[in-house]
Amino acid sequence: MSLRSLGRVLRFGLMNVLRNGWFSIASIIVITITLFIIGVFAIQSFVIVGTTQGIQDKLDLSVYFNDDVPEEDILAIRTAVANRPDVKSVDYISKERAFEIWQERRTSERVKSLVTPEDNPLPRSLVIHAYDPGKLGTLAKLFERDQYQEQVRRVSYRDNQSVIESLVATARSVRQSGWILAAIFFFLSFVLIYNMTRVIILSRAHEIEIMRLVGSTTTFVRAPYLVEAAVIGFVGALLALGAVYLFLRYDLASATPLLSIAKFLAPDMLEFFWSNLVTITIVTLLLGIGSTVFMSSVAVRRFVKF
Amino acid sequence: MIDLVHVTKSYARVSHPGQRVLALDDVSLTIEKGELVSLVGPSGAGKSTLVRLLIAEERPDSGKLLVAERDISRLAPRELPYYRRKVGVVFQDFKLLPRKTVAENIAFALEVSDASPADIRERVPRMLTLVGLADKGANYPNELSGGEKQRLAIARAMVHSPRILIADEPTGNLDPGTTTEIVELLERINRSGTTIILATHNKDVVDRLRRRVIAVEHGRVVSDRQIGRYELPSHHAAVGAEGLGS
Repeated sequence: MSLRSLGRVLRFGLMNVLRNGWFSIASIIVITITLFIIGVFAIQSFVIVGTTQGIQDKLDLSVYFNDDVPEEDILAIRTAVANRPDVKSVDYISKERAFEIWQERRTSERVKSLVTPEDNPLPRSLVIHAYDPGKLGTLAKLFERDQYQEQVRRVSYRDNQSVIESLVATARSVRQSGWILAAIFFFLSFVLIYNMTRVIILSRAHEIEIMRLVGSTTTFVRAPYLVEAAVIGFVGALLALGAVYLFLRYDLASATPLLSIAKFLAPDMLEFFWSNLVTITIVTLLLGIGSTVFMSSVAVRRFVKF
Repeated sequence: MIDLVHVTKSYARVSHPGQRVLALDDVSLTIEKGELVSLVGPSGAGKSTLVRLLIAEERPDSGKLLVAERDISRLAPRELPYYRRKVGVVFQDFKLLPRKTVAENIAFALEVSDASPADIRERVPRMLTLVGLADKGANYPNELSGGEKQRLAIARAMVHSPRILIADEPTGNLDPGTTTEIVELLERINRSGTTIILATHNKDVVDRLRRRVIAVEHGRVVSDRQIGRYELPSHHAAVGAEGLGS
Protein backbone atom coordinates (compact mmCIF):
# COMPACT_ATOMS: atom_id res chain seq x y z
CA MET A 1 0.00 0.00 0.00
CA SER A 2 1.32 3.42 -0.92
CA LEU A 3 1.82 6.15 1.67
CA ARG A 4 -1.04 8.04 0.04
CA SER A 5 -3.40 5.06 0.42
CA LEU A 6 -2.29 4.58 4.01
CA GLY A 7 -3.10 8.22 4.71
CA ARG A 8 -6.55 7.84 3.16
CA VAL A 9 -7.26 4.60 5.03
CA LEU A 10 -6.28 6.30 8.31
CA ARG A 11 -8.49 9.29 7.47
CA PHE A 12 -11.49 7.07 6.59
CA GLY A 13 -10.98 5.06 9.79
CA LEU A 14 -10.82 8.14 12.00
CA MET A 15 -13.88 9.59 10.27
CA ASN A 16 -15.71 6.32 10.98
CA VAL A 17 -14.94 6.61 14.71
CA LEU A 18 -16.47 10.09 14.79
CA ARG A 19 -19.42 9.17 12.56
CA ASN A 20 -20.37 6.19 14.73
CA GLY A 21 -20.34 8.24 17.91
CA TRP A 22 -22.45 5.91 20.06
CA PHE A 23 -21.06 2.69 18.64
CA SER A 24 -17.56 3.94 19.27
CA ILE A 25 -18.35 5.04 22.82
CA ALA A 26 -20.04 1.72 23.63
CA SER A 27 -17.10 -0.25 22.20
CA ILE A 28 -14.61 1.88 24.14
CA ILE A 29 -16.55 1.29 27.37
CA VAL A 30 -16.57 -2.48 26.82
CA ILE A 31 -12.84 -2.56 26.10
CA THR A 32 -12.10 -0.29 29.06
CA ILE A 33 -14.04 -2.54 31.45
CA THR A 34 -12.41 -5.69 30.07
CA LEU A 35 -8.88 -4.32 30.26
CA PHE A 36 -9.55 -2.77 33.67
CA ILE A 37 -10.65 -6.10 35.11
CA ILE A 38 -7.77 -7.93 33.47
CA GLY A 39 -5.40 -5.23 34.70
CA VAL A 40 -6.55 -5.34 38.33
CA PHE A 41 -6.48 -9.13 38.40
CA ALA A 42 -3.14 -9.38 36.67
CA ILE A 43 -1.53 -6.87 39.04
CA GLN A 44 -3.18 -8.56 42.01
CA SER A 45 -2.00 -11.93 40.78
CA PHE A 46 1.56 -10.69 40.29
CA VAL A 47 1.64 -9.10 43.74
CA ILE A 48 0.21 -12.21 45.42
CA VAL A 49 2.49 -14.52 43.49
CA GLY A 50 5.44 -12.25 44.30
CA THR A 51 4.57 -12.17 47.99
CA THR A 52 3.90 -15.89 48.27
CA GLN A 53 6.99 -16.67 46.21
CA GLY A 54 9.04 -14.65 48.69
CA ILE A 55 7.50 -16.49 51.60
CA GLN A 56 7.73 -19.85 49.89
CA ASP A 57 11.41 -19.33 49.24
CA LYS A 58 11.88 -18.87 52.96
CA LEU A 59 9.94 -22.01 53.78
CA ASP A 60 12.15 -24.84 54.84
CA LEU A 61 12.23 -28.00 56.87
CA SER A 62 14.59 -28.22 59.84
CA VAL A 63 15.49 -31.64 61.16
CA TYR A 64 17.12 -31.50 64.63
CA PHE A 65 19.37 -34.35 65.75
CA ASN A 66 20.10 -35.78 69.16
CA ASP A 67 23.51 -34.84 70.52
CA ASP A 68 24.68 -38.48 70.63
CA VAL A 69 24.35 -39.00 66.88
CA PRO A 70 27.80 -39.11 65.19
CA GLU A 71 28.41 -36.26 62.75
CA GLU A 72 29.22 -38.70 59.90
CA ASP A 73 25.73 -40.15 60.24
CA ILE A 74 24.16 -36.72 59.89
CA LEU A 75 26.36 -35.93 56.88
CA ALA A 76 25.37 -39.26 55.32
CA ILE A 77 21.72 -38.43 55.76
CA ARG A 78 22.41 -34.98 54.26
CA THR A 79 23.95 -36.55 51.15
CA ALA A 80 21.04 -38.98 50.80
CA VAL A 81 18.47 -36.20 51.10
CA ALA A 82 20.37 -33.82 48.79
CA ASN A 83 20.32 -36.51 46.07
CA ARG A 84 16.53 -36.50 45.96
CA PRO A 85 15.21 -34.78 42.79
CA ASP A 86 12.65 -32.69 44.71
CA VAL A 87 15.24 -31.23 47.07
CA LYS A 88 16.80 -27.90 46.15
CA SER A 89 19.41 -27.68 48.92
CA VAL A 90 20.36 -29.15 52.26
CA ASP A 91 22.45 -27.17 54.74
CA TYR A 92 24.13 -28.72 57.73
CA ILE A 93 23.98 -26.54 60.84
CA SER A 94 26.68 -27.58 63.29
CA LYS A 95 26.57 -26.71 66.99
CA GLU A 96 28.95 -23.78 66.32
CA ARG A 97 26.79 -22.45 63.46
CA ALA A 98 23.66 -22.88 65.58
CA PHE A 99 25.34 -20.83 68.30
CA GLU A 100 26.19 -18.06 65.78
CA ILE A 101 22.63 -17.96 64.49
CA TRP A 102 21.37 -17.81 68.08
CA GLN A 103 23.58 -14.85 68.77
CA GLU A 104 22.58 -13.09 65.54
CA ARG A 105 18.87 -13.44 66.02
CA ARG A 106 18.51 -12.61 69.66
CA THR A 107 18.52 -9.01 70.78
CA SER A 108 18.24 -9.49 74.52
CA GLU A 109 21.66 -9.89 76.14
CA ARG A 110 20.10 -11.97 78.87
CA VAL A 111 18.73 -14.47 76.38
CA LYS A 112 21.99 -14.43 74.43
CA SER A 113 23.95 -15.31 77.58
CA LEU A 114 21.85 -18.42 78.14
CA VAL A 115 23.93 -20.19 75.51
CA THR A 116 27.74 -20.12 75.47
CA PRO A 117 30.23 -22.01 73.31
CA GLU A 118 31.14 -24.05 76.35
CA ASP A 119 27.59 -24.77 77.38
CA ASN A 120 25.72 -25.12 74.09
CA PRO A 121 22.47 -27.09 74.25
CA LEU A 122 21.49 -26.12 70.69
CA PRO A 123 21.06 -29.25 68.56
CA ARG A 124 22.70 -29.87 65.20
CA SER A 125 20.28 -29.77 62.29
CA LEU A 126 19.76 -30.15 58.55
CA VAL A 127 17.88 -27.29 56.85
CA ILE A 128 16.12 -28.62 53.75
CA HIS A 129 14.72 -26.44 50.91
CA ALA A 130 12.42 -28.11 48.36
CA TYR A 131 11.76 -26.95 44.78
CA ASP A 132 8.05 -27.09 45.58
CA PRO A 133 7.32 -25.98 49.14
CA GLY A 134 4.16 -28.12 48.95
CA LYS A 135 6.45 -31.18 49.05
CA LEU A 136 7.98 -30.29 52.42
CA GLY A 137 5.28 -32.36 54.12
CA THR A 138 6.39 -35.52 52.28
CA LEU A 139 9.99 -34.86 53.23
CA ALA A 140 9.00 -34.32 56.88
CA LYS A 141 7.29 -37.72 56.87
CA LEU A 142 10.60 -39.37 55.88
CA PHE A 143 12.08 -38.44 59.25
CA GLU A 144 9.14 -39.89 61.13
CA ARG A 145 10.19 -43.41 60.08
CA ASP A 146 11.42 -45.85 62.71
CA GLN A 147 14.99 -45.81 61.41
CA TYR A 148 15.35 -42.17 62.40
CA GLN A 149 13.50 -42.38 65.71
CA GLU A 150 16.73 -42.72 67.72
CA GLN A 151 18.52 -39.95 65.87
CA VAL A 152 15.94 -37.20 65.22
CA ARG A 153 14.91 -35.03 68.10
CA ARG A 154 12.36 -32.88 66.28
CA VAL A 155 11.11 -31.86 62.81
CA SER A 156 10.11 -28.21 62.49
CA TYR A 157 7.65 -28.61 59.65
CA ARG A 158 4.72 -29.61 61.83
CA ASP A 159 4.70 -26.18 63.49
CA ASN A 160 4.16 -24.35 60.17
CA GLN A 161 2.21 -26.99 58.29
CA SER A 162 -1.19 -25.27 58.17
CA VAL A 163 0.26 -21.87 57.26
CA ILE A 164 2.38 -23.34 54.48
CA GLU A 165 -0.45 -25.34 52.97
CA SER A 166 -2.97 -22.49 53.01
CA LEU A 167 -0.44 -20.10 51.50
CA VAL A 168 0.31 -22.48 48.65
CA ALA A 169 -3.41 -23.05 48.04
CA THR A 170 -4.23 -19.30 48.08
CA ALA A 171 -1.53 -18.46 45.58
CA ARG A 172 -2.79 -21.19 43.29
CA SER A 173 -6.49 -20.26 43.48
CA VAL A 174 -5.93 -16.52 43.05
CA ARG A 175 -3.93 -17.16 39.92
CA GLN A 176 -6.58 -19.52 38.56
CA SER A 177 -9.61 -17.34 39.35
CA GLY A 178 -7.86 -14.29 37.88
CA TRP A 179 -7.22 -16.04 34.58
CA ILE A 180 -10.71 -17.52 34.46
CA LEU A 181 -12.28 -14.09 34.98
CA ALA A 182 -9.96 -12.54 32.38
CA ALA A 183 -10.93 -15.27 29.90
CA ILE A 184 -14.65 -14.69 30.53
CA PHE A 185 -14.29 -10.95 29.95
CA PHE A 186 -12.21 -11.49 26.83
CA PHE A 187 -14.92 -13.74 25.47
CA LEU A 188 -17.62 -11.18 26.33
CA SER A 189 -15.72 -8.35 24.71
CA PHE A 190 -15.07 -10.50 21.65
CA VAL A 191 -18.80 -11.17 21.25
CA LEU A 192 -19.58 -7.48 21.71
CA ILE A 193 -16.91 -6.10 19.37
CA TYR A 194 -17.68 -8.78 16.78
CA ASN A 195 -21.37 -7.91 16.84
CA MET A 196 -20.78 -4.18 16.85
CA THR A 197 -18.50 -4.46 13.82
CA ARG A 198 -21.12 -6.63 12.16
CA VAL A 199 -23.88 -4.10 12.82
CA ILE A 200 -21.65 -1.24 11.60
CA ILE A 201 -20.79 -3.17 8.44
CA LEU A 202 -24.44 -4.05 7.79
CA SER A 203 -25.46 -0.43 8.39
CA ARG A 204 -22.88 0.61 5.82
CA ALA A 205 -23.79 -2.06 3.28
CA HIS A 206 -24.84 0.71 0.88
CA GLU A 207 -21.48 2.47 1.13
CA ILE A 208 -19.53 -0.79 0.83
CA GLU A 209 -21.54 -1.73 -2.26
CA ILE A 210 -20.73 1.65 -3.84
CA MET A 211 -17.04 1.24 -2.97
CA ARG A 212 -16.95 -2.13 -4.71
CA LEU A 213 -18.82 -0.83 -7.76
CA VAL A 214 -16.41 2.07 -8.29
CA GLY A 215 -13.42 -0.29 -8.19
CA SER A 216 -12.21 0.14 -4.64
CA THR A 217 -9.58 -2.37 -3.58
CA THR A 218 -10.28 -4.66 -0.62
CA THR A 219 -7.81 -2.66 1.45
CA PHE A 220 -9.89 0.50 1.14
CA VAL A 221 -13.07 -1.29 2.13
CA ARG A 222 -11.66 -3.35 4.98
CA ALA A 223 -8.72 -1.43 6.42
CA PRO A 224 -10.69 1.58 7.73
CA TYR A 225 -12.61 -0.81 10.01
CA LEU A 226 -9.33 -2.04 11.42
CA VAL A 227 -8.13 1.54 11.94
CA GLU A 228 -11.41 2.27 13.69
CA ALA A 229 -10.93 -0.81 15.90
CA ALA A 230 -7.34 0.20 16.68
CA VAL A 231 -8.47 3.67 17.76
CA ILE A 232 -11.17 2.14 19.98
CA GLY A 233 -8.62 -0.29 21.46
CA PHE A 234 -6.09 2.51 22.03
CA VAL A 235 -8.55 4.84 23.76
CA GLY A 236 -10.03 1.91 25.74
CA ALA A 237 -6.54 0.88 26.91
CA LEU A 238 -5.65 4.41 28.04
CA LEU A 239 -8.94 4.74 29.94
CA ALA A 240 -8.40 1.31 31.51
CA LEU A 241 -4.92 2.36 32.70
CA GLY A 242 -6.43 5.50 34.25
CA ALA A 243 -9.19 3.45 35.85
CA VAL A 244 -6.70 0.95 37.32
CA TYR A 245 -4.66 3.82 38.75
CA LEU A 246 -7.72 5.48 40.33
CA PHE A 247 -8.91 2.12 41.66
CA LEU A 248 -5.60 1.48 43.42
CA ARG A 249 -4.95 5.08 44.41
CA TYR A 250 -8.30 5.58 46.14
CA ASP A 251 -8.56 2.01 47.39
CA LEU A 252 -11.85 1.38 45.61
CA ALA A 253 -11.29 -2.36 46.14
CA SER A 254 -12.90 -1.90 49.57
CA ALA A 255 -16.19 -1.22 47.84
CA THR A 256 -15.87 -4.28 45.57
CA PRO A 257 -16.72 -7.60 47.26
CA LEU A 258 -15.33 -9.59 44.32
CA LEU A 259 -11.93 -8.06 44.84
CA SER A 260 -11.71 -8.56 48.57
CA ILE A 261 -8.14 -9.84 48.28
CA ALA A 262 -7.15 -6.71 46.42
CA LYS A 263 -8.30 -4.67 49.39
CA PHE A 264 -5.40 -5.40 51.73
CA LEU A 265 -2.94 -5.66 48.87
CA ALA A 266 -3.85 -2.22 47.41
CA PRO A 267 -0.72 -0.41 48.64
CA ASP A 268 1.53 -3.15 47.24
CA MET A 269 -0.45 -3.16 44.02
CA LEU A 270 -0.11 0.62 43.64
CA GLU A 271 3.63 0.29 44.16
CA PHE A 272 3.77 -2.53 41.60
CA PHE A 273 1.76 -0.33 39.19
CA TRP A 274 4.21 2.57 39.46
CA SER A 275 7.38 0.50 39.36
CA ASN A 276 6.19 -1.39 36.27
CA LEU A 277 4.30 1.50 34.62
CA VAL A 278 6.10 1.31 31.26
CA THR A 279 5.60 -2.45 30.91
CA ILE A 280 1.98 -2.25 32.09
CA THR A 281 1.25 0.59 29.62
CA ILE A 282 2.81 -1.25 26.69
CA VAL A 283 1.09 -4.55 27.53
CA THR A 284 -2.31 -2.85 28.02
CA LEU A 285 -2.02 -0.92 24.75
CA LEU A 286 -0.94 -4.01 22.83
CA LEU A 287 -3.72 -6.03 24.41
CA GLY A 288 -6.32 -3.32 23.70
CA ILE A 289 -5.30 -2.61 20.12
CA GLY A 290 -4.45 -6.23 19.32
CA SER A 291 -7.72 -7.64 20.60
CA THR A 292 -10.01 -5.05 18.98
CA VAL A 293 -8.20 -5.30 15.64
CA PHE A 294 -8.40 -9.09 15.80
CA MET A 295 -12.10 -9.09 16.75
CA SER A 296 -12.93 -6.55 14.05
CA SER A 297 -10.93 -8.37 11.37
CA VAL A 298 -12.83 -11.59 12.06
CA ALA A 299 -16.13 -9.72 11.48
CA VAL A 300 -14.79 -7.83 8.45
CA ARG A 301 -13.53 -11.02 6.80
CA ARG A 302 -16.88 -12.64 7.37
CA PHE A 303 -19.19 -9.82 6.37
CA VAL A 304 -17.36 -7.74 3.76
CA LYS A 305 -17.51 -9.89 0.65
CA PHE A 306 -15.94 -9.15 -2.70
CA MET B 1 -15.69 -6.50 -26.91
CA ILE B 2 -18.18 -8.61 -24.96
CA ASP B 3 -18.80 -12.30 -25.72
CA LEU B 4 -21.21 -14.54 -23.85
CA VAL B 5 -20.68 -18.17 -24.83
CA HIS B 6 -23.36 -20.61 -23.64
CA VAL B 7 -23.76 -18.81 -20.32
CA THR B 8 -26.06 -20.43 -17.77
CA LYS B 9 -26.83 -19.06 -14.34
CA SER B 10 -29.21 -20.37 -11.68
CA TYR B 11 -30.02 -19.38 -8.12
CA ALA B 12 -30.98 -21.49 -5.11
CA ARG B 13 -34.68 -21.15 -4.22
CA VAL B 14 -34.95 -19.89 -0.69
CA SER B 15 -38.53 -21.17 -0.35
CA HIS B 16 -37.64 -24.63 -1.68
CA PRO B 17 -34.24 -25.70 -0.34
CA GLY B 18 -32.40 -27.94 -2.75
CA GLN B 19 -34.19 -26.53 -5.81
CA ARG B 20 -32.75 -23.96 -8.18
CA VAL B 21 -34.36 -21.40 -10.44
CA LEU B 22 -32.83 -20.80 -13.87
CA ALA B 23 -32.08 -17.09 -14.49
CA LEU B 24 -30.06 -17.43 -17.71
CA ASP B 25 -30.36 -20.50 -19.91
CA ASP B 26 -27.53 -21.13 -22.39
CA VAL B 27 -27.21 -17.51 -23.52
CA SER B 28 -24.75 -16.68 -26.30
CA LEU B 29 -24.33 -13.18 -27.73
CA THR B 30 -21.68 -10.75 -28.90
CA ILE B 31 -21.53 -6.99 -28.39
CA GLU B 32 -19.02 -5.06 -30.47
CA LYS B 33 -16.90 -2.16 -29.31
CA GLY B 34 -18.74 1.18 -29.51
CA GLU B 35 -22.24 -0.32 -29.70
CA LEU B 36 -25.24 1.00 -27.78
CA VAL B 37 -27.37 -2.02 -26.98
CA SER B 38 -30.75 -2.02 -25.28
CA LEU B 39 -31.49 -5.10 -23.22
CA VAL B 40 -35.24 -5.49 -22.86
CA GLY B 41 -37.57 -7.97 -21.24
CA PRO B 42 -40.17 -8.30 -18.51
CA SER B 43 -39.39 -8.56 -14.81
CA GLY B 44 -37.53 -11.76 -13.98
CA ALA B 45 -36.47 -12.27 -17.61
CA GLY B 46 -32.79 -12.30 -16.72
CA LYS B 47 -31.73 -8.72 -17.55
CA SER B 48 -30.46 -7.96 -14.05
CA THR B 49 -28.64 -11.30 -13.87
CA LEU B 50 -26.89 -10.42 -17.11
CA VAL B 51 -25.91 -7.02 -15.69
CA ARG B 52 -24.63 -8.62 -12.48
CA LEU B 53 -22.54 -11.09 -14.47
CA LEU B 54 -21.06 -8.29 -16.57
CA ILE B 55 -19.98 -6.27 -13.52
CA ALA B 56 -18.55 -9.47 -11.96
CA GLU B 57 -20.98 -9.41 -9.04
CA GLU B 58 -21.92 -12.97 -9.94
CA ARG B 59 -20.22 -15.86 -11.70
CA PRO B 60 -21.98 -18.06 -14.26
CA ASP B 61 -22.66 -21.73 -13.48
CA SER B 62 -21.26 -22.64 -16.88
CA GLY B 63 -20.15 -20.96 -20.09
CA LYS B 64 -17.68 -18.21 -20.84
CA LEU B 65 -18.03 -14.48 -20.26
CA LEU B 66 -15.38 -12.72 -22.29
CA VAL B 67 -14.78 -9.00 -21.97
CA ALA B 68 -11.95 -7.70 -24.18
CA GLU B 69 -11.05 -11.39 -24.75
CA ARG B 70 -10.61 -12.03 -21.03
CA ASP B 71 -12.87 -14.53 -19.23
CA ILE B 72 -14.12 -12.40 -16.34
CA SER B 73 -15.76 -15.34 -14.61
CA ARG B 74 -12.25 -16.53 -13.81
CA LEU B 75 -10.96 -13.27 -12.32
CA ALA B 76 -9.26 -13.62 -8.94
CA PRO B 77 -10.81 -11.52 -6.15
CA ARG B 78 -7.84 -9.14 -6.14
CA GLU B 79 -8.31 -8.52 -9.88
CA LEU B 80 -11.97 -7.50 -9.52
CA PRO B 81 -11.39 -3.88 -8.46
CA TYR B 82 -9.25 -3.24 -11.54
CA TYR B 83 -11.85 -4.85 -13.79
CA ARG B 84 -14.65 -2.78 -12.24
CA ARG B 85 -12.75 0.42 -13.01
CA LYS B 86 -12.99 -0.51 -16.70
CA VAL B 87 -16.75 -1.08 -16.50
CA GLY B 88 -18.88 1.84 -15.31
CA VAL B 89 -22.31 1.05 -13.93
CA VAL B 90 -25.39 3.11 -13.06
CA PHE B 91 -28.56 1.92 -11.36
CA GLN B 92 -32.18 2.98 -11.06
CA ASP B 93 -31.63 3.97 -7.40
CA PHE B 94 -28.51 6.06 -8.20
CA LYS B 95 -26.46 4.63 -5.28
CA LEU B 96 -25.05 7.97 -4.11
CA LEU B 97 -23.47 8.71 -0.73
CA PRO B 98 -25.91 11.10 0.95
CA ARG B 99 -23.37 12.64 3.35
CA LYS B 100 -20.94 13.58 0.62
CA THR B 101 -21.32 16.51 -1.75
CA VAL B 102 -21.70 16.04 -5.50
CA ALA B 103 -17.97 16.65 -6.05
CA GLU B 104 -17.03 14.42 -3.11
CA ASN B 105 -19.16 11.57 -4.47
CA ILE B 106 -17.05 11.59 -7.62
CA ALA B 107 -13.77 12.21 -5.78
CA PHE B 108 -14.53 9.26 -3.47
CA ALA B 109 -14.49 6.86 -6.43
CA LEU B 110 -11.02 8.14 -7.30
CA GLU B 111 -9.75 8.21 -3.70
CA VAL B 112 -10.57 4.53 -3.10
CA SER B 113 -8.84 3.67 -6.38
CA ASP B 114 -5.58 5.23 -5.19
CA ALA B 115 -5.73 8.20 -7.61
CA SER B 116 -3.35 11.08 -6.92
CA PRO B 117 -4.72 14.39 -5.55
CA ALA B 118 -3.69 16.12 -8.78
CA ASP B 119 -5.60 13.52 -10.78
CA ILE B 120 -8.67 14.00 -8.58
CA ARG B 121 -8.50 17.81 -8.94
CA GLU B 122 -8.35 17.47 -12.71
CA ARG B 123 -10.95 14.73 -13.25
CA VAL B 124 -13.77 15.76 -10.90
CA PRO B 125 -14.58 19.10 -12.59
CA ARG B 126 -14.21 17.46 -16.01
CA MET B 127 -16.81 14.83 -15.11
CA LEU B 128 -19.15 17.43 -13.62
CA THR B 129 -18.92 19.45 -16.84
CA LEU B 130 -19.54 16.31 -18.92
CA VAL B 131 -22.87 15.70 -17.20
CA GLY B 132 -23.82 19.37 -16.81
CA LEU B 133 -23.45 19.63 -13.06
CA ALA B 134 -20.47 22.01 -12.99
CA ASP B 135 -22.35 24.49 -10.80
CA LYS B 136 -23.66 21.86 -8.34
CA GLY B 137 -20.35 20.49 -7.01
CA ALA B 138 -20.94 21.76 -3.48
CA ASN B 139 -24.55 20.54 -3.24
CA TYR B 140 -25.58 17.36 -1.44
CA PRO B 141 -27.47 14.60 -3.31
CA ASN B 142 -30.73 15.36 -1.48
CA GLU B 143 -30.62 18.86 -2.99
CA LEU B 144 -30.64 17.44 -6.53
CA SER B 145 -33.56 16.47 -8.78
CA GLY B 146 -33.94 12.84 -9.90
CA GLY B 147 -32.36 13.59 -13.28
CA GLU B 148 -29.44 15.39 -11.66
CA LYS B 149 -28.87 12.46 -9.30
CA GLN B 150 -28.71 10.09 -12.26
CA ARG B 151 -26.33 12.43 -14.08
CA LEU B 152 -24.13 12.45 -10.99
CA ALA B 153 -24.21 8.63 -10.95
CA ILE B 154 -23.19 8.62 -14.62
CA ALA B 155 -20.36 11.10 -13.91
CA ARG B 156 -19.09 8.81 -11.17
CA ALA B 157 -19.37 5.75 -13.40
CA MET B 158 -17.35 7.56 -16.10
CA VAL B 159 -14.64 8.83 -13.77
CA HIS B 160 -12.22 5.99 -14.59
CA SER B 161 -12.88 6.50 -18.33
CA PRO B 162 -14.34 2.98 -18.65
CA ARG B 163 -14.59 1.23 -22.01
CA ILE B 164 -18.03 -0.09 -21.13
CA LEU B 165 -20.92 1.64 -19.36
CA ILE B 166 -23.74 -0.52 -18.06
CA ALA B 167 -26.99 1.22 -17.17
CA ASP B 168 -29.53 -0.88 -15.28
CA GLU B 169 -32.94 0.82 -15.55
CA PRO B 170 -31.35 4.28 -15.40
CA THR B 171 -34.63 6.02 -16.16
CA GLY B 172 -36.85 3.86 -13.97
CA ASN B 173 -37.38 6.62 -11.40
CA LEU B 174 -37.50 9.56 -13.79
CA ASP B 175 -40.24 11.54 -15.52
CA PRO B 176 -40.39 11.53 -19.37
CA GLY B 177 -38.63 14.90 -19.77
CA THR B 178 -35.72 13.88 -17.54
CA THR B 179 -35.60 10.47 -19.18
CA THR B 180 -34.90 12.17 -22.52
CA GLU B 181 -32.05 14.15 -20.92
CA ILE B 182 -30.43 11.00 -19.57
CA VAL B 183 -30.80 9.11 -22.84
CA GLU B 184 -29.23 12.01 -24.72
CA LEU B 185 -26.33 11.99 -22.25
CA LEU B 186 -25.84 8.26 -22.77
CA GLU B 187 -25.89 8.74 -26.55
CA ARG B 188 -23.28 11.48 -26.23
CA ILE B 189 -21.05 9.21 -24.12
CA ASN B 190 -21.52 6.42 -26.66
CA ARG B 191 -20.48 8.73 -29.52
CA SER B 192 -17.17 9.29 -27.71
CA GLY B 193 -16.47 5.55 -28.12
CA THR B 194 -17.81 3.97 -24.92
CA THR B 195 -19.79 0.77 -25.38
CA ILE B 196 -23.17 1.10 -23.62
CA ILE B 197 -25.51 -1.62 -22.44
CA LEU B 198 -28.86 -0.26 -21.38
CA ALA B 199 -31.14 -2.64 -19.50
CA THR B 200 -34.61 -1.11 -19.57
CA HIS B 201 -38.35 -1.57 -19.46
CA ASN B 202 -38.97 1.77 -21.09
CA LYS B 203 -40.54 1.30 -24.53
CA ASP B 204 -40.25 4.98 -25.45
CA VAL B 205 -36.53 5.04 -24.72
CA VAL B 206 -35.84 1.95 -26.81
CA ASP B 207 -38.03 3.04 -29.70
CA ARG B 208 -36.49 6.51 -29.74
CA LEU B 209 -32.90 5.20 -29.81
CA ARG B 210 -33.44 2.98 -32.88
CA ARG B 211 -30.29 1.01 -32.05
CA ARG B 212 -29.64 -2.68 -31.44
CA VAL B 213 -32.24 -4.34 -29.18
CA ILE B 214 -31.76 -7.70 -27.46
CA ALA B 215 -34.93 -9.12 -25.94
CA VAL B 216 -34.65 -11.61 -23.08
CA GLU B 217 -37.44 -13.82 -21.75
CA HIS B 218 -37.34 -16.73 -19.32
CA GLY B 219 -33.55 -16.52 -19.26
CA ARG B 220 -33.16 -16.86 -23.04
CA VAL B 221 -32.44 -14.39 -25.84
CA VAL B 222 -35.69 -14.37 -27.84
CA SER B 223 -34.79 -11.70 -30.38
CA ASP B 224 -31.74 -9.67 -31.39
CA ARG B 225 -32.24 -6.90 -33.97
CA GLN B 226 -29.69 -4.39 -35.16
CA ILE B 227 -32.23 -1.58 -35.41
CA GLY B 228 -34.96 -2.68 -33.16
CA ARG B 229 -38.03 -1.60 -31.29
CA TYR B 230 -39.39 -2.69 -27.94
CA GLU B 231 -41.05 -5.94 -28.95
CA LEU B 232 -41.33 -9.17 -27.01
CA PRO B 233 -42.54 -12.08 -29.15
CA SER B 234 -44.44 -13.95 -26.47
CA HIS B 235 -45.11 -11.30 -23.88
CA HIS B 236 -46.95 -8.41 -25.42
CA ALA B 237 -48.36 -7.47 -22.07
CA ALA B 238 -44.91 -6.26 -21.10
CA VAL B 239 -45.18 -3.48 -23.67
CA GLY B 240 -46.09 -0.42 -21.71
CA ALA B 241 -45.08 -1.90 -18.38
CA GLU B 242 -42.79 1.06 -17.88
CA GLY B 243 -41.74 1.91 -14.37
CA LEU B 244 -41.74 -1.61 -13.02
CA GLY B 245 -38.53 -2.86 -11.45
CA SER B 246 -36.73 -5.54 -13.38
